[in-house]
Amino acid sequence: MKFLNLMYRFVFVLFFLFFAGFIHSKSIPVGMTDASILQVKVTVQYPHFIQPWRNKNPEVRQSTGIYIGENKIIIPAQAVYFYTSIEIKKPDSLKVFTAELERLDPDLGLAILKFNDPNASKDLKAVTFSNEVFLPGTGLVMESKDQRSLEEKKIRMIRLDMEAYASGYVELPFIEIQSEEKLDGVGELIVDVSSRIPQGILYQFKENNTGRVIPTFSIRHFIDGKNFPFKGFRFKPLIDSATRNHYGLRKDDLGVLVAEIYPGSSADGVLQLEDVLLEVSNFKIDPKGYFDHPKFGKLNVSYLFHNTNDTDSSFGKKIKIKVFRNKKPVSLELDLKPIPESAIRIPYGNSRFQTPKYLMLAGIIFQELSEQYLTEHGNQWRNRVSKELLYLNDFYRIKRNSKEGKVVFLSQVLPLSGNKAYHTAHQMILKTVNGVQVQSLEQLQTLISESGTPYVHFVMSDGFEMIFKKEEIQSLNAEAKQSFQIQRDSNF
Amino acid sequence: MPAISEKKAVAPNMVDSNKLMQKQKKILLSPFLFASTILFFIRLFLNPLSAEEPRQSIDEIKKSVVQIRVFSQAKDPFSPWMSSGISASTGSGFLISKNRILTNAHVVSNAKFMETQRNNQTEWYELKVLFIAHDCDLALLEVSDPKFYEDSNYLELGSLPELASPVDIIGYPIGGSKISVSRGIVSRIEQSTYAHSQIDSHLVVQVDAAINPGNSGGPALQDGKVVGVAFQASTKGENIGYIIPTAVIQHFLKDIEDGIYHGYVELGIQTQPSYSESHRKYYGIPSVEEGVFITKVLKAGSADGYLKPGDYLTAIDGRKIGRNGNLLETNSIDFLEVVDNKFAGDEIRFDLIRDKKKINVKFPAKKMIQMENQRARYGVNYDYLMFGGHIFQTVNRDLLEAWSKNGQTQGGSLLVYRFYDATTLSDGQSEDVVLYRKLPHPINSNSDFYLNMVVEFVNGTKVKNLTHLKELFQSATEKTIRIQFYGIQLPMILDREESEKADLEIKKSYHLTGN
Repeated sequence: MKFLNLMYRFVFVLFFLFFAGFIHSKSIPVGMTDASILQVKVTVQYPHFIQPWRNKNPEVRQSTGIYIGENKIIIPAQAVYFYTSIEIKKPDSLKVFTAELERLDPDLGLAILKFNDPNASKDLKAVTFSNEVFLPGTGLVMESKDQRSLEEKKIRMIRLDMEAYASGYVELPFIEIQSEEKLDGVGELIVDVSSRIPQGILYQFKENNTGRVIPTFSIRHFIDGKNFPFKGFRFKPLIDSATRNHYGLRKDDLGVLVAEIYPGSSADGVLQLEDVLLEVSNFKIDPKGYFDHPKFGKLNVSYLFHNTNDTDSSFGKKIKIKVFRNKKPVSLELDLKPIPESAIRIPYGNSRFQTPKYLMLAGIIFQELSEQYLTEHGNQWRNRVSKELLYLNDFYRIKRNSKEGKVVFLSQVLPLSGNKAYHTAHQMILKTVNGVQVQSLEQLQTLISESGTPYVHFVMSDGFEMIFKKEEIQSLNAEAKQSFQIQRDSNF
Repeated sequence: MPAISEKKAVAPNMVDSNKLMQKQKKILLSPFLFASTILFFIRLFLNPLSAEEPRQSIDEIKKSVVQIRVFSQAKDPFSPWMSSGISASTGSGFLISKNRILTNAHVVSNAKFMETQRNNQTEWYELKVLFIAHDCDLALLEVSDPKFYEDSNYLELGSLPELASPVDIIGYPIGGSKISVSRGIVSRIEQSTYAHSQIDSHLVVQVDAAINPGNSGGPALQDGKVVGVAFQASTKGENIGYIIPTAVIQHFLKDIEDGIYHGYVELGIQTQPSYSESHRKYYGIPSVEEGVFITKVLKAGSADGYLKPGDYLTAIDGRKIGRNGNLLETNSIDFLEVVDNKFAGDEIRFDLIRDKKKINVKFPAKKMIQMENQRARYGVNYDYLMFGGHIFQTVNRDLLEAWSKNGQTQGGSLLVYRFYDATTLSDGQSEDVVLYRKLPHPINSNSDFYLNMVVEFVNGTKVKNLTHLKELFQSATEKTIRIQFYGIQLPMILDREESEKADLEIKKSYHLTGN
């Protein structure tokens, strides 16, 4: 009897799993009158990277949200960074609902919101995202504007390609589209024109009438709560014969050169600089870094590492790689891991929800270099900022080994009489404190608090020095906080 | 007092002379006027110098000021095998001895042909440059035809003008053929950057008079003596001009006494003020001692090997230095001005505190080779190297400016950073060589990745300069040449024979000559 019970249970679980899987992967058309598309108004308050103790004035960002069931809405991540309030309006309803951010992926550029009111999703119809991508094909953009009902505009879906999204680090698949219509690219739902099966979410549309769509399989992967793998290296095309000959390549139809390896990543310890990548998952890689995909045609090799399409996803599998190293073929296996954030020396792209850190010492502001700090200097930022910081940002974003630290720099001196000797200092890289190399703000804070010497001795990369008595640091900080209305000595 | 005694038109006296005498007697008897006369003589007695000052008439001054017409042609640093178009310009100058004309270096830079004329002369006389000093924007010229000097006059050098005193700027501005005089007041005396070289900083006198194109090289006069050479105008304010004071002119004239212009010496240190008591106590500096801390000693500068970071400089040549780096005696002149007045080989003496001990250090002044590429250059042929259609050149100001004018500003942060920090990054021996452009050919179609990068190694050898790079390419026997650049990990690979072969085709296609 017990055994029978167990059997029943087992069969039930199997049936449930099969059924759940069937439901999960089934493509459900989205009707023109389905209540799935929502208007989302997000008030955001961005941090100030130059004066990191304060925020900027609040702004409002409008975007489209798509109801995905369980009281959840999917929207572009760009809309919710540094949000203070989220308001959601359902179609044909004047009532406004509030929501909170549940999850966000900065590389995919999507976020999931959850209604605060458990009854808010009543009468909303969930959109499901499956693996189906119809390429090339005609699609419809479903958007909801102001108080008007749902509008549909036609687009042409051209091809699948790979690239890092506007603010991400990982190259991910996107569908290139064209349209004669004017579109916003703020999270509108794309469905196939005849079957009305969801194809993706529009996240970018340019003035030249082309745009980009996040394909359904990537969206589903994100909704399922999974992270995105990263191959952990960058490559350079290997087209010219002199370089090919130098690396001992005889055939001129294969291979790209490994140009950069992220410490702590999937490729770390597996690939080496100047390896020639010949094959990935048994696909031959051409000298420009493309392979022939049976369905999508020529695709960038990154697809073989980063895609989440069910049929050819490498997620959770060991990837077979063949390289040419020191003029000999070598077979390797690579375990896919997410991007190691610790490998990023100078954050770039968007802020990935990171507020700028600062540490004030003797009324002097120290920060860690990020691209956001530099771009905050206006359109001409490349001409305005310190040339050394600009150079570092261009060439040393990624650590070259795990021991390399962040670039800690003195961003400004808050003028007080006690630090007047150093008022002219700004945008200088901090090299050492009491003779110890500085690698992060946290370490700098520890060095100061644990310093056993009566003086604290700062040395900048150009030799400029600043010296304070230990007790001066606290008293000047107190004076700076009062004088310049700064709440805290640090924000981490 | 103004330099030029103005002539006034005098109306002939038509009054009867007897009547006039009687009238004058009456005047003398008038007590008020009598007192005025007495006061006039007292003033004359108390201030006898002004009455004795040499004052030249405008006619005499006109005889010494010349107009200079220049036809110039420069090399294009971005395409160093090409010359720019021929342009004509005018400037001014003046005779400082019987047959020597002083003007600005920028008036005669890149000149292919020059001629000059004095006021009221009808003929233009051919000129030649005897000495040119781009670092202080001065040049000495000569006319070979003695007829030019007939009935000429020359001007004497005066001293530094007082603040708020008037000066007259004489020259031929805006291309006019008639001499022009404009009067201004000395509004500031300071060390400032000379626009011609863009890097050198010397004493300048600011005047509130317009200095227009064509004025350059003309004299600024006070009491009939030269107090400066008009040379640049402010881009920020209106009617603000600058003159090169006589101290700089005299430095130039003394420098060329041996027949060669050597140029300015550099101390080669970076300093910071010493306002902070904690900073001073940390280094054990007594509170009574004023001075500045050395933060960096540049390689191959005068101070290299003699001064050290952390040294506290208290006096230069016995003249005390303040906490802000100015000489205590004036508190308006940077102590570096003392070095500016020296010549190569002259001794520089410092009183300093090192490791809490007072010591004296002395060393000879010398030029810094690294400064040459920082300076805008004129009349030079830019050396370059082409290999596989890739153009390499030494990183220098002219190239960088031409490069940015060509819109090559994206991705060039390495080049820009290494140029602007060259004095601190340089080891004093080597120069940066940059791959700044390519002449397209199938052989180099994939090398854009390496554009604007600075060469570090070739086949494992550290590159010292452009000549060294040429040698490395020429002496290479390997089939492939591996070039590594600062900042990027992947080398550029070139096939030696294929590159050399392609260069022959490229030279022909793009009309390259020389090199």
